[in-house]
Amino acid sequence: MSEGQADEVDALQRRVDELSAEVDRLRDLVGPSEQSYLDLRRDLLAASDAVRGAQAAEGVQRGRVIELEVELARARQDQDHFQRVVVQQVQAGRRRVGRALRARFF
Amino acid sequence: MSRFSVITTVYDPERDHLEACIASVAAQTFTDLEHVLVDDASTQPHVREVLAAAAAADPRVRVVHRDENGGIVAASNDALAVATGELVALLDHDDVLDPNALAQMHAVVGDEVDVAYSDHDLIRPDGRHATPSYKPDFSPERLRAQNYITHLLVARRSLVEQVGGFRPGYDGAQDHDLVLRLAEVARAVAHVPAVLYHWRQSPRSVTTSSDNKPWAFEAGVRAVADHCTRVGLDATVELTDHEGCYRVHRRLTTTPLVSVVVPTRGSAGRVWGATRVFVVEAVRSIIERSTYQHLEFVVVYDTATPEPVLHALRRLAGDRLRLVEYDRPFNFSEKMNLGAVHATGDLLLMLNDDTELLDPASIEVLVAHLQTPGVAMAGAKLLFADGTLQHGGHVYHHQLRHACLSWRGDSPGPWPLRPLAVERECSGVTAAAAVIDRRVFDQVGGFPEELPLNYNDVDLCLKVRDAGHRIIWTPWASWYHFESRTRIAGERPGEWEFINQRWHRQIHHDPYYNVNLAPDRSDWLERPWRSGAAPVETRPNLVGRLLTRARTKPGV
Repeated sequence: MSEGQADEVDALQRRVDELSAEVDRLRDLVGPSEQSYLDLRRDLLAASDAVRGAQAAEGVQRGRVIELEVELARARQDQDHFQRVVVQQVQAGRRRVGRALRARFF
Repeated sequence: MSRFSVITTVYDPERDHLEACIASVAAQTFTDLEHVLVDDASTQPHVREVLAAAAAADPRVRVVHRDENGGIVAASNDALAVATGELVALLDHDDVLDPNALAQMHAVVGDEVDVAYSDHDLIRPDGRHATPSYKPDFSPERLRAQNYITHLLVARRSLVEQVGGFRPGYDGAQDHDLVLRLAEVARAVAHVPAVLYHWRQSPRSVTTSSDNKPWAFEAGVRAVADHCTRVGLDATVELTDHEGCYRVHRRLTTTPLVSVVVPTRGSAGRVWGATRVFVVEAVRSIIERSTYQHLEFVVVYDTATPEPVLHALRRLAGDRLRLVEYDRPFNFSEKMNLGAVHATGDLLLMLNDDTELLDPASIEVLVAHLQTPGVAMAGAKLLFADGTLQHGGHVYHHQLRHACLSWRGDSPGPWPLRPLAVERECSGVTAAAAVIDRRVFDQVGGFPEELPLNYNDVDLCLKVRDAGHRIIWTPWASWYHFESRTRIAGERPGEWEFINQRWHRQIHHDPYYNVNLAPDRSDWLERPWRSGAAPVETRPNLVGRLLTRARTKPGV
């Protein structure tokens, strides 16, 4: 075996070692079998669906709160408006009383 | 010939309601009018008395008595037949006009305007005014989806006669049917943004509950379907879950190539408890779910995008994928324009990478809108991950906002106009998921590269509209958009100044919103001091009444 061939074999051996290490790493990630990996995927999807459902339920409530805040703002404006009308009427009444009293006594 | 013929068909209204109706016409500040009242064979004796008294009191009142009850369409046509006014105004027998109603309508109906309408509110059973309908300016797409115009409607009498008046068989939706036909031939339709009509809410009225008049909405479906046929729209029409709102299902006339342009840097994030690479899932959702598959994917990726992301995209989209590298600092506009350069489709689907297709027919729906003449852009409903609304169309009302941000995703939107339940014209739509005609995109110069982060879609939309095109928002196309909840995620210096300077007038006047609505909001809340609870009747209080009585006594 020439020196060049020996280097090539060493390089290949290092590559094989790296790939073996990668296979081990992936096995550690996946688990003892591909089937368990699929199970994990299913678990993840099921958990994700559950989170999605919970967030959607929360979203419905959050949306209702936003809509109620708008209704509240509308009601407050109605109340302010009503108060304004009442104040105007009271002031107009006072003016009428004043005019009537002045007309009556002066 | 009078300027106005106010037309009222009468069938057994309550005495005081009919009197209020007639009095409101008599009290108009614009006096060049006639009031045509057609009694549709009322059974209540007080009707004849009230009509006779009105005719005796005011020569402008003209009364016609029908021999037999023929329904609102027949009676309305009888009224039209005897009307002599240049303009026709429709008034129901228990409703009330604002004293300035005809004056304001007269002011907008010039030589060019054939049809005009105003805002209206409801008179509750207790007599209080409530629920004002602050309407958009003329919105033909919306008119197909709901009769948002209703009252007060004024039209040139010659035009009403030209379209054949009221059509038999559409009772209950005769107004919608008429206004659709008028809108098809009118030179211009004007909107007066003021409450000029008070619509009485009675237990039998359509305004109260649809259960009372389901046939009215069935007639509405037929009216819209007929309209689609007349204007050459190949579509079917159905009633939605929301009363008075219709869905127009357009059929595609062709299936053009759609280029899905997606800018990305291949980022990942957690959605629904799991990590995802956004762009991969955005593309996957379209490939796996969309009913429209004549697509190419133009992914404009930053140089820093991880290779596995590009690999996954290649595996997913195969030869339908065009990868375009972008090696400059982030500029959304520049990336989208670059994607458009590499796109070969007739239409561009502008899509953010943090999206997921929700309704499989979405792209089909958007493409079908662009096959309607005059429409150059169509946007979708976007939902946050929790299902709340992220985008319901843009509102440019002193601020740039998404309509009804964070409302429930299935909400029809604020009563009474329910803007989230209908397809409608918008001032703008987000570019996070919107289809635009490629030629129009090029014509207006694409996205503004001066705006790298914000308002670039606003600028594009306003350019599209400025070029004379319409933009449609539809609730029938939907995506999830996993964006932050903040309206603007970090504004760069000068962006607001740029957009405000270029489009100041448009930003401060949205024709598809209403000046009577509160500024800086997008939820159709009215301005303060314009409450739906107003007006409260002004009646002297006890002290005032006593003083008045005292002052009117002889010798005081």
